[in-house]
Amino acid sequence: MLGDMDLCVTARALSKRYDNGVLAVDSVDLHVPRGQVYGLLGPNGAGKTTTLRMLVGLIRPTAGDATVAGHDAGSGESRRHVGALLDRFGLYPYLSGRDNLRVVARYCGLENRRIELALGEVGMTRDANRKYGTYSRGMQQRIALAAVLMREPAIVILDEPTSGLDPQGILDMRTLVQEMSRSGRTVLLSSHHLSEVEQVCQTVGVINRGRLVVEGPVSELKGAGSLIVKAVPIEPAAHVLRAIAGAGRVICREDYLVMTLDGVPVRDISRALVSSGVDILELRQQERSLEDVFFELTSRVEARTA
Amino acid sequence: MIETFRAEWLKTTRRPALWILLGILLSVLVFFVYLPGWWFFAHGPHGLLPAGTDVQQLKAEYYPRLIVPHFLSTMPSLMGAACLSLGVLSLGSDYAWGTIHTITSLPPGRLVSLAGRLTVLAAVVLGLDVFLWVVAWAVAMTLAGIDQASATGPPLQQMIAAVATTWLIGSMWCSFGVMLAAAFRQSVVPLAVGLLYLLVIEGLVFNLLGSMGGDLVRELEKLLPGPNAGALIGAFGHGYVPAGVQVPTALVGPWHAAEAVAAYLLLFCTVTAYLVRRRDPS
Repeated sequence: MLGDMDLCVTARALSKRYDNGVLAVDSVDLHVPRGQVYGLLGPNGAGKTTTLRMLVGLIRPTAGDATVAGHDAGSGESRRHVGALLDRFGLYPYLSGRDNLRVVARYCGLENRRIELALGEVGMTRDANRKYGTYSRGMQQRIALAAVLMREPAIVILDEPTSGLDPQGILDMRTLVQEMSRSGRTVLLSSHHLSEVEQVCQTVGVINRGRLVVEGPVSELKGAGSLIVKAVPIEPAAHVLRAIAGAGRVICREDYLVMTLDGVPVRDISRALVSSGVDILELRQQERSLEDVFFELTSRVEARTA
Repeated sequence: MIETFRAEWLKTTRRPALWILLGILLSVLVFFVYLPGWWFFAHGPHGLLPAGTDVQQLKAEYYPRLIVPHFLSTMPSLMGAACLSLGVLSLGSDYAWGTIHTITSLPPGRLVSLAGRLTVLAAVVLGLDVFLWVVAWAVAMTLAGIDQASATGPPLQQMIAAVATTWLIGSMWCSFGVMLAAAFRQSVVPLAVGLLYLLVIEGLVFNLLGSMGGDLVRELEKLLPGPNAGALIGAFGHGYVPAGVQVPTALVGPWHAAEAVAAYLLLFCTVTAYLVRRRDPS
């Protein structure tokens, strides 16, 4: 369990109900570890963007609270530490890329030197004098990202950062996120691309229908699924596993057993099998993709709410 | 605050819409307010004018001595419409482009960035105002030179008061535009609503009702921004009035009018600040 000092973003029972009555975010608790890439994963309309907007201070929560870099989300102090790239990049189409950065730099009281550094970092120095409105989506995103990086924020919030990008753009963005993480920044990104989250994030929160379904390190979420047990004799082994996890959680295959773990430590299972006199031939956690976890979790929520 | 002002200044002065509005006002001033009238009185068929009209007096309206009443007889309403559009576009476009998200998520905060925006708009309106007065002065000097008439202008104090008046009225309409943009969180509807109110409701409906008489209408007019702006302008007097033409009496005194316009400016800014602070940008 991480202490508050190790967390860059926290949210407690964060909720947002819009004026039209829609409950977009429902009592979300978030714990984003400092210096990590955290992925907020969920289908379209799950509440990811609303959650991020509340953290940036664009939307006021109707209940609950959140802190960003140790300050109340949306406060002047927290805004100083956050760089956000939201679903729309939010720059002026009639200004050049460089002038857009100049506007942001002036708002934040930054030196012009930072503009050139940021342009170089995103590879846009050559095209910086072109009007922002004439850029491709990928170029617009680079300039918007330069506007974020220029401020050297402790935490970077990215809403669907690869949305609408071509394969090269997606690869560049992934590299950039990894570089940000290497440089010690905390990155909180939202996505509905499971493979993207799996590749760049260390921690994931799965959000569906406004509720946070699960949160934890990617490795734990993937590994928490099931256990493959090859043991002889197989019947007593199955009996032991059923006693631990319940009958419905153990499936007998031809020559092995599959057990849904659901929080049971593997070492306890191993001990129980050995003490019952069963020889263990193989004991391994079944590899699952984040996709399996995601669909399993979201379908569980849907079944519950149906 | 200074940094916010600089940021707002950069994006406002680089905006093509500002220069288009300025171009429109400049064209109207030169090619509608000054040149056609002067040409008509200098060379036109004077037989079309009512009997007893003093053409020389009418021509003198285009010379520097009467620049204040001549400018104020036409330009304030056009400037009001332009300033209202400028105010709407300034904030409304930020909602349309999503740039309001960028600004709101930056350190200065909602109210500081709004204060920077309003200060820049006030400065831009002043620049626009001074520029139009300078152009009017240059055109009037040129016409007086062509006609070999006196190039003497009005007293400096009157000129300064007139420039300040048009700036105050322009700023009021501009802040009205910003307020509408904050209320509707876009630019198309507030532009339509604002211009409809300024040009149709105040410009036509109340004028029509006012001309039909009725104390209630007159009392109501005293409360509205447009008639107060009109009363303030009216305080500068008027040019030559041909015999038989009646000049409408002012609704309120100049100080009352100036206070009302300034109060409206303050009210629009306060309501905008309330809306921007209280409501989410999307």
